[in-house]
Amino acid sequence: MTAVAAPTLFPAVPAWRQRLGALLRRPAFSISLFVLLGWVVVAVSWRLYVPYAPDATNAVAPFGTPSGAHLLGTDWLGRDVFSRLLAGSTSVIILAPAITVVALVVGSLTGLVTGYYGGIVDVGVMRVVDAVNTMPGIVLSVLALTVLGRSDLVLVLVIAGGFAPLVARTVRASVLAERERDYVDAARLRQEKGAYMIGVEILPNVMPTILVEGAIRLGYAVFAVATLSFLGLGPQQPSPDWGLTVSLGVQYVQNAPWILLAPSVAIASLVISVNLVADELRREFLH
Amino acid sequence: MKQYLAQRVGLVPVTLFVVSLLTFVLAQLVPGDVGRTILGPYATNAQVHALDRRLGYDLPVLQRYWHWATGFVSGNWGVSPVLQVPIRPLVMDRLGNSLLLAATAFVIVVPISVTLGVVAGLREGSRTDRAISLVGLSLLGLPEFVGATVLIVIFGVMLAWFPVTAQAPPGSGLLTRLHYLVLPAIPLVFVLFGYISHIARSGTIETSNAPYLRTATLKGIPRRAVLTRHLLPNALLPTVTVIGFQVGYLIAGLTVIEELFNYPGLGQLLISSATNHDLPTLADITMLVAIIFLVANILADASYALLNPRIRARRAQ
Amino acid sequence: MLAVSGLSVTYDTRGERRRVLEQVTFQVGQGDAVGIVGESGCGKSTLGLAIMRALPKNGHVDAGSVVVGGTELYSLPTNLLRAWRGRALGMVTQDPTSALTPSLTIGQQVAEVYRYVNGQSKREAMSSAGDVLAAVGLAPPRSYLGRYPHELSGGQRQRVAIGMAVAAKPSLLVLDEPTTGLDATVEAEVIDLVNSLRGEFVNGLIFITHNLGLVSRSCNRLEVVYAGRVVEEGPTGELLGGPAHPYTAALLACLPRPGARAQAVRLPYVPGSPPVPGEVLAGCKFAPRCPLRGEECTANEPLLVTFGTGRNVRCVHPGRAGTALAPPSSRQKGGRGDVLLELRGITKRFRSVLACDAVDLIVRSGETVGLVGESGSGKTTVARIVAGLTTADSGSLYWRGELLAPDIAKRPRAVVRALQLVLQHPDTTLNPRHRARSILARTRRRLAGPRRVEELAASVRLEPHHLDSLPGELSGGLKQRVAIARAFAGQPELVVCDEPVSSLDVSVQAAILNLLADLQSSDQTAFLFISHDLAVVRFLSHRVVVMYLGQVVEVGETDDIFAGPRHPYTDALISAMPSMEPGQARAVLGERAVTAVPEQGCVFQARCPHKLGTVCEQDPPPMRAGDNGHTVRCHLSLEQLAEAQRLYQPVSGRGCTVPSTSMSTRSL
Repeated sequence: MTAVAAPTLFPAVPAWRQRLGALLRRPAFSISLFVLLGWVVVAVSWRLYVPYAPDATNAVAPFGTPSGAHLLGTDWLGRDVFSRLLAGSTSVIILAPAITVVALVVGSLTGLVTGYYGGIVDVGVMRVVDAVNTMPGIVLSVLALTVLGRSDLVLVLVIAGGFAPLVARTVRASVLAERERDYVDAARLRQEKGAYMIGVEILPNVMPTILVEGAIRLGYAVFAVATLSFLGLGPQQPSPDWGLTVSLGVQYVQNAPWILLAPSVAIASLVISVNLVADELRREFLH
Repeated sequence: MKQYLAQRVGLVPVTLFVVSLLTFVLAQLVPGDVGRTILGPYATNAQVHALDRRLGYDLPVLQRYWHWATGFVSGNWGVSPVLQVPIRPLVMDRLGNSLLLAATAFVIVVPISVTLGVVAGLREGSRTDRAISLVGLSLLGLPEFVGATVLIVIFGVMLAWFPVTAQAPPGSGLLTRLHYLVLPAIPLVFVLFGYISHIARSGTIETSNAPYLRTATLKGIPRRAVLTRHLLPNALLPTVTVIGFQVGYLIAGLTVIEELFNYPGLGQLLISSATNHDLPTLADITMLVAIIFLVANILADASYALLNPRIRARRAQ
Repeated sequence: MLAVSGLSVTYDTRGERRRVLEQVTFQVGQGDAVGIVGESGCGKSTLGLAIMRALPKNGHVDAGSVVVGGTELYSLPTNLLRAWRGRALGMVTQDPTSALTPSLTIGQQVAEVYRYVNGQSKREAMSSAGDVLAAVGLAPPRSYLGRYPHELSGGQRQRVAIGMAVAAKPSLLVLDEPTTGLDATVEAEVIDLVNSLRGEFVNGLIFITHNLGLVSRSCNRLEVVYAGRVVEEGPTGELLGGPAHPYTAALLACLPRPGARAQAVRLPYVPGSPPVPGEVLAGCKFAPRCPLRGEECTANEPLLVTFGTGRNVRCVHPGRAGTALAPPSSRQKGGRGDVLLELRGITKRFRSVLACDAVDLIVRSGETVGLVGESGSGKTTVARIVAGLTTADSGSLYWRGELLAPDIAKRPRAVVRALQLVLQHPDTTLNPRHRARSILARTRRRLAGPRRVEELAASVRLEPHHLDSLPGELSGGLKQRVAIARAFAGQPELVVCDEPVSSLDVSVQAAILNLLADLQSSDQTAFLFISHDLAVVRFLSHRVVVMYLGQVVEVGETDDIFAGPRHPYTDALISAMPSMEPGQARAVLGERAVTAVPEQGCVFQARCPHKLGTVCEQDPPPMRAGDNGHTVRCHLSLEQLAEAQRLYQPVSGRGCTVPSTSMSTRSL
């Protein structure tokens, strides 16, 4: 081939710090990151400043409209909606990252190993992945949570189990692309072993893919946790969990819409900010 | 092409067999005794035992699997031990309701999201594009019940434009039924809009930057011809597939919406049979969903292959 | 007919404005064919797009005008532009694989031009499309109209693209690297086709390329572009015969000439690499690389000044270019020794494709064996099998007479050290996350290399500061130097080089070729040098092996092969060599549409101009032995081959000719 190299612009890869700076200058990213970090702070520190104990009932003031005393009103048991809103962040803020980490670790390892070695291992694992993907996640989750019982651990494992194959597939595709590059052959030419190849040669190059996939999965994890707790398969009463609160508050929608509006808006703000952060990361690091 | 499709269809029984095993094993893991779970703590041991025997739970595992699997294939799905009604008519009736809701959502979402996705892609980087992408991305992550509750509060309670339940009173006309379905369909539209417009946008951008589009432009043919003949057929190929793959998502979305609006669809039945430990119904729903999902994926793949001359040729080889 | 004046173009990349074209001015007259020549990144493709008013969204014309047939292109309203451009200008772009719409048939795409631009009816348009396909050599057109682009070979697709570009009979045709990615024999055909279309279909031609050999065959004027500026322009013959700008002179001198051998001479080369678009340099942009550089060069940018009739040059020392490059020093001749590596009956099949068919090959210590062939000939597979990256289906490898394990993981460390490979793609050969120093250090440790990393770097002329760079910060040539240093870390006895210079610009390529030859004379290293470029192979190799569709069709000493008699395929490759010698260019072969190996008989039967008949279709050809170990796999005897080549004299090229004496004397 008389191929001509594309014009090279040095430096081809801007430093990480430079990229982070560029990201932070974009309002969609910085605002979303602020909201996201805000909820994380609330989830760990709400006990320090909630106006009322989230579980404190008040029999004489149910369905109180928002007022100075109760910023977002009270619910059907007279509990302070604002306090429960802050406290309700904890479950999703803990569960969603836990799911993401489990799915990322299991999925990345599977993707790296199957992608690098190929052959029978690859075919076998990918068949199982395909089979898991055949069952819509919701059906699988409902079935598993019904049979294994409802606990946070099961919830994390079930959702992560559904996500890991998707992570594995993305990472594997990326590994397959890297494996075709000459530097992998160059490492074979000095007789490097599998672990070095995967860990030192390939992993640093698929890291952006893994990180971006993690950010995207985090968004889906928030979605899944909220949905399953809305369906009654997550935290149980009297937890102030947002999804659970919405499902219980639906019956009072005509009289006291603030009960379900507050956690709904909270979920929306969290999920949207995670997605926007993930999208900006993807655009910065994968294109 | 035919060979490829045959191969895909040939794999269906294998996949279904794996799914059925998975379902059956999971259903077997249920803690405690089935009869006891159904009859509650006050029934006598003799009653529980009699029910177990009637349901076939005293038989060996393999025999039970065989019984269930052959029953499913032959259409003899048995009777729900909890609801005391035949499972198949129940499930099929619920499936019909779900399909109506899903169809409403699709009819609304496909034209809107494809159009806006293409518009955004053609004006990549413009204000219009950024607005459409931002809205799409935000809606994409919004759990259906969140979108739905906000919509209910605004349009159902405050403005009272739409009824807050999904099911029209018995005997209403089609128009009324559709009126009842709009509010439940919109949260599904939100999420689907995010997906479909995103794929349509990136397909459009990719095709716009393809060298062949420049060739077409430089030939001197009108812009409209460039768009309709060279850009859209190639840009929307991935979108067609993605629309097909949304069936898997829809099942989850429907479950939430039906639960929220108390709409008698398949998803609601899924949740209620789970809470009631109605395992035979649960297992049959799982199988039905897997079949629908597989068929939809094959159709999506086939339509992609049919529309794409390159794949058509490669797979024929 | 076309007048470009004062054209300046900027690209906006990530908020930075980079000037890529600066005050470009030139004309194309009636019947002219103008070559725009330059290396990658010099702005020549941008110039082509600017002439079409088809710059990408982030490109802006800051100043200047483009006038075609009296109409200023950039003052046309957009609604008129399309149709007008369709009639006035045609363009053929680089990549034939992606230049045609995949979802439409060839007929639909070509007919569009007649329907929308010439206003013909659907039926008329389709029959006109058939006519133009016939004119570009796709006959019978009926069999092509209904096909999709993916059903055609690269050369056929490029013919369609050319047909489409000239369908409306535009006054000017712009060709941007139209043969990039095509095999040499196909390239020659496409160039012949373009030449044949002049007059009947188009009046003027602009030919953008990095390949001086191609323009000399089809252009009567040249514009040499460097760093976004025209540095020299003039009639092709005079310009190539006596370049006035040191850059033009260097480009010509860098090309390996017939008669020049790596064992005897070094190639002149240009140090450094072209400036990055947007880089700010005071004075002459070529000064940092120029041997004539003086203070007067860096003070002000030189203007384009007249040099002889119809020639202009942007240099403060016009005409001193000939003396610019120091005469290359000679090199000591190394000896060739015992057999190092032997391949016996190596066969490899990838699914249905037979990549290697019973390949036999020998490399002796201290010698360079050139392995040539077009894409799909199996030469890269041979390289990978030798290096142990791919295992053969059958056959065996011997290292110093002993059986060699096919898989590199199972080879003893001593052999791994002694037998190394330089891979093909400079852009991916280094791990983008590892610095040059750590790559070399790791290799040295694994291969127990005797030399320190700094010495290793110095041996490939890398500066110490390059060691601390990430590959993304190095140019293609520098990356390839790191890769060569890596291969030499364990003091190898044989290095397999798989197209190590094919993606480098000629000025950089020469330096790498010198480096390889230097390493050979200092370390007595043997090379198995794989390339599609016969000029490079002739320069470097003691012996040449020619492969076609997985088979070795000819082996011999380099001189013997170039002197002939030779295999008809080798003959075609040599004829198709881009060359500045007069009357050399010719296309002799029918194009190979698919890489299917014939079931029986000779692998070359479908394209052979000397095919005898059924014997070639049915019987495998015998190996004909000549002197000095020269063998040819052909049914024709060596005497018949010599006769055939004598009768089949090259036809005179249509382009201008270059006095050959000046070329050959200057190169030495």
